[in-house]
Amino acid sequence: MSRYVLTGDSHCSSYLKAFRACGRTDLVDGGPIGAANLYYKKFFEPTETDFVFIDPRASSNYERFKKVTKSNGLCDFKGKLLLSVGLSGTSFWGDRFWHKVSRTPHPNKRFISSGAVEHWIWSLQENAIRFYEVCIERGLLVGALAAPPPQKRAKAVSVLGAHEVLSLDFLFRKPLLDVLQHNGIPVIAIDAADETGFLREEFWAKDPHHSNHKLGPLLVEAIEREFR
Amino acid sequence: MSHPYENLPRNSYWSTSISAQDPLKISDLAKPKERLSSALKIATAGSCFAQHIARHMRARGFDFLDMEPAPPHLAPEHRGKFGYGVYSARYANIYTTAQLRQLVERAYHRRTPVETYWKRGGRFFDPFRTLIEPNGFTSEEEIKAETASHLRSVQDMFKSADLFIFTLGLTEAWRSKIDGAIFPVAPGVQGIGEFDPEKYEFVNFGFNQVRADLLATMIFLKRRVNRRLRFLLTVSPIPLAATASGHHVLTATTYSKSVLRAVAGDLVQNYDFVDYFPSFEVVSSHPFKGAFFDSNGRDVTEAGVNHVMGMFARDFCILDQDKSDESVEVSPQDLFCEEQVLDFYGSS
Repeated sequence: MSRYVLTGDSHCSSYLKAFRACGRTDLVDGGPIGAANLYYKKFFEPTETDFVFIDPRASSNYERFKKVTKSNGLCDFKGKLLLSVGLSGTSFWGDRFWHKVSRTPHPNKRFISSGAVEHWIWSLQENAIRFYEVCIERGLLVGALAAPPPQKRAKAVSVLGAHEVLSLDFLFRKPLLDVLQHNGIPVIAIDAADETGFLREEFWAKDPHHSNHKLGPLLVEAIEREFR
Repeated sequence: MSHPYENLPRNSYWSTSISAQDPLKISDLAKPKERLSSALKIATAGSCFAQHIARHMRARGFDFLDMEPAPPHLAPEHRGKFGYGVYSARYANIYTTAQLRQLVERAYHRRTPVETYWKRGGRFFDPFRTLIEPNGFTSEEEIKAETASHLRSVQDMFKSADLFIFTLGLTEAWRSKIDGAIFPVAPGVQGIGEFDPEKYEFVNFGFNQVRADLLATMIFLKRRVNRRLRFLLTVSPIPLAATASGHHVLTATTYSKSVLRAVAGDLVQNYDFVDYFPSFEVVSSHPFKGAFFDSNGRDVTEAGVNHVMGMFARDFCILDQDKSDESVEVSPQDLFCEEQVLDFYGSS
């Protein structure tokens, strides 16, 4: 039985593999529920003793999570749950929408106002925020595990520029970070960025969005530091 | 001795086409000059009722132009609040033909209104589209950027469209005394802007002005922008919510709708590129006994909209099959994320 249980998006998968690679499943174990875009719509219903995940794939992943963690579900993990949900802006700033739309006046792109972006982000994050709130109400949540910083080889960096990607990434996470801060839930961030704010190359997975198993020791260190 | 009313089709006689009919079976109210195929690129605009037309055209598989699509994954209930997907571009409701003419003239740099923003609190609102940003813009510069981008999209829309469906809604409007700019809502409504009788005046357009504005717009678009563009006019059956004419809102509604209906009829009679679909008659005329109105006698029920659009599909359209535009494109980063999740349990 591990000290903490992690669930959430695809970064949760990468992180759990990293914990395994450094032999620290005693510290964190668990399993993902679904990729980041699952959380953009209404994805769960709380029942009296558990959670129902609406999407069939998420529901089936949740059953696998129960098997891996030998549990009856998330509610077994009072004061032990770590979430990696809503803290990765990859699907947001990486969307092709931004190839045609800009936050600043541009002769060949449509303009989008700061109000529309704010509202869009809120609509993407409101279900994730609700999930965190229910986990907090039930006394499950001990912390959120931040996604790794963006990678500079992501296509969006060449299309939008590094500054815009980092700026959009922050904007995307902000509403959730505010809610977590308000509730006193720590957000555990891994110190794996280079001087430009992007994920250091040594931690790149094969695809341009996830981290590799070498992040394990940093994850362990960050969690042990947070919950010392 | 024969006479001109002998041997006319059934729908020429009230007794056979109306009195003897179940109202829901009244049919053949209009014959299009050209039936619409799903290959046509269709743009829509107009007053509130036009929103239903846009929604149904999409659902029935038409190539509905959406020049300013909503951001991905934005929930449908949020899209409308920002004017996404309601019409073919985010111009919000266009109630009068003067407003339509102004939009086209602005898009093609033939008119630049003096007023660029109204304020509420510390936020800035586009006076010509107050509803597209419910909380307003942060600055005048944001409105300018948004307006420039929007007007480019309007240009692209008229260049690409095969058919422009315009729903005529009102004859009443508010006008700037300074440059004649037409506003869709009176300044000060919902606290946006400030009403100043020295700067703004009420106007209730008559037949000649409504016709002149619409015809000038159509001729400009046909001659200068897109020769293949056709027009389909409808009149919104939704009565005025309020009138500033000094008349009772019922008689003001009758005036407004009569003028609009007469203009539509006149243009259809005189121009072969203009058609008319009688949504106004289907909802508002007395044989239907008000059955398609909500209990407030103003809003059209969903059943009413479905009936109108069913008639539209049957009488005006050639459709291969019902299609839906709800397919969602999966982006590469979403695929990477799905793979990560699948891979985790595969390796567990």
